[in-house]
Amino acid sequence: MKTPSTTRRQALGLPLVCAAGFAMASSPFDRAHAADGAELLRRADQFRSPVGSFTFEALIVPPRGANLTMEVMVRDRARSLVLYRDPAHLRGQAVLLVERNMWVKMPNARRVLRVAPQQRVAGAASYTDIARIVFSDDYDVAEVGPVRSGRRVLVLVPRGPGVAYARIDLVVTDAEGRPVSAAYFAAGASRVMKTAHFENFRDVLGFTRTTRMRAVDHMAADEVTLMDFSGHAMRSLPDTLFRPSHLETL
Amino acid sequence: MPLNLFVTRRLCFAVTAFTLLQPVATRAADFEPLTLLQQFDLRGGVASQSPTPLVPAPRSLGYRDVGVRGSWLLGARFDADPLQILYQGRTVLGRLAGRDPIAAELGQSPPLRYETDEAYLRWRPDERFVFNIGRRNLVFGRAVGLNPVDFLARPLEQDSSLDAVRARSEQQGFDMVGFEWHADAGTMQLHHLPQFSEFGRGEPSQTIAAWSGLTLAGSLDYALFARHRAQHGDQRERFGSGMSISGGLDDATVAYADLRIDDDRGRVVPNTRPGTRPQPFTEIDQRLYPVFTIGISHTFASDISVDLEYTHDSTGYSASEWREVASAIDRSSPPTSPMDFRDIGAINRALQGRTFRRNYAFKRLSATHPEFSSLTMEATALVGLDDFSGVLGFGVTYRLIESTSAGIRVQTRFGNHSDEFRLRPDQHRLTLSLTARF
Repeated sequence: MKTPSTTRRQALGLPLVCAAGFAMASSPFDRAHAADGAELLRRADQFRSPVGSFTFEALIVPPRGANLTMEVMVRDRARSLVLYRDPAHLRGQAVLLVERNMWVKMPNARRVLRVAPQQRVAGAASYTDIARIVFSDDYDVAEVGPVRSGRRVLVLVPRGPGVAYARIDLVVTDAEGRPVSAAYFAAGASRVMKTAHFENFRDVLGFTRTTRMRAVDHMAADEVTLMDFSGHAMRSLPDTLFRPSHLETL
Repeated sequence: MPLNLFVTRRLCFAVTAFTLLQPVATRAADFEPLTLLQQFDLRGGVASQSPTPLVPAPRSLGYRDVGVRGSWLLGARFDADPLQILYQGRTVLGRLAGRDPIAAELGQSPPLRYETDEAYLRWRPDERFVFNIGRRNLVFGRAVGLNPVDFLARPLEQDSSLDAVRARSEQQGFDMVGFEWHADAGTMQLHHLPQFSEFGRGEPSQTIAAWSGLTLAGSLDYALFARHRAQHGDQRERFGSGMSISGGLDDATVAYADLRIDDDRGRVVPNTRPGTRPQPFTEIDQRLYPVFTIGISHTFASDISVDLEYTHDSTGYSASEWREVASAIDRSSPPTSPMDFRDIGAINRALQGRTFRRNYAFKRLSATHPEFSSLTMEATALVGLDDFSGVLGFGVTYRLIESTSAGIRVQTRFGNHSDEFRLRPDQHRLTLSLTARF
């Protein structure tokens, strides 16, 4: 069992590893691979999400409390609509993400409110984990780590303000760019908030993709939250669906 | 029979008929045309009442030391594309401690009553056009504390033992016809209310137009409002406008502002003609009066959210006017003659449902406990900056099982004896609640 001190050591250790990565990344070797980093990120995104307009179901299993079931609609990667199905007391809640903006309609509220993307769903799951499922729209590859055991670390930094995490260290396989894990850093990039592990790769809409994200919350004694994605289907989704004013009519 | 009552009754009947007659889904296997929501709520509490100059005999006005109230809320939604029927109503038994939102105002309100928040028909011929008819509970604007563009709020009827969001949601709506056009550039709404009234005090028909959209690559929401109120009795035709904006400053912070401008102050002031015992109030108006709230909402990594707001209400009483109001109250309170009772009653009616002064601060702190996501907390403070009186609220809700939660909420007023928020007699209040939603 991991203890809080273990967590602290991890939290302290990861930045050190990453700092070493920064130092190494400034070498001519890694600058030469900077372009490869963008390609690896593109491939990693392909392992996470289809392109175009599609829907899927998300099952969130938090460390305690009821499981959450949601229907997620995505259009052109930048726009997502999350509709809560279960549990009953959250049925009717809807979350809209357009680029880096987020709105929520609570089941017992009469209006749609713009909220901060930092708000969490449950456990270590954030809305951006569920509905903002590609990295390359929000982050640039700042550094590319060396190959170790067939894997590389891509250090991702935000493209602009309004992005959920200050830095992400994404581990991908060097051969395919398949995402393995990601360490998410809080503001200031000095502390790892959580680590996500990408698992259960299956055929989804003609391509092998991850269908499970196992998030370890380093801010809460390494508690684990599971996010399972299933039922992917390509669908034509009208533009009007992804407007804050539409949430009021749901 | 008035049109609005006719429409509401017919819609209630239609919803009931659909509820009883719709046996199974008739479309795709996973499509359920009828969605039902039920909520049972039991709350009881105690309140500390003390006579004030404005309310010298609180119990005679319905303020209660102890109260218990149960309610059953039914929400229904029937989808038969392109038509939808939406309904929310409550059956309420009993009364709350302190100021019951209905009983305190009507006095004779029966302990068993039925309230319809919404009952309306929505027709959506295609994705861009929506038509509505029936009773709706619409909310405009973003502010949580004092919202200048929440044109259709009924502050006197809201249950202050609930959190702010739920209290506003569980309010009886208004009968109206409406139209929405979802264009590429934004959404236009037009709503007409044949009669806008609260507690039987009829006001003129009004029409509200709104245009809302996004700008700056989606980083800024904006809504523009125009409002027209028809001539009614001795009140002239009135126009107003408003604006609401909100935008993200970073991934954790949202800033917002709501503004309303009316061509009427819509308030009464003391008649200070010397040498007579005046009627305590007289109508005034005539210029443009802006009312605005600016606010900021920040979410910390610990899941604690804080909302801070400042409101300026130019229709409120200035310091000199408030002194006159206080003098008018003092002249008649405690009432010893029929004229005193008449005057203090007139003052009370004039001050109901509004804030009185010009500057306010509002703070809300809400949190979900990181270790127990079933535990939520809300602490609020509304403070009048002109006299530094205010009202504090604190509530905790714990989810016992998936659909059932228990809560405790306390509220207290502070300030000097004749300050704004101390003029109401329910000084302290404690409410326990049990809510099941399924």
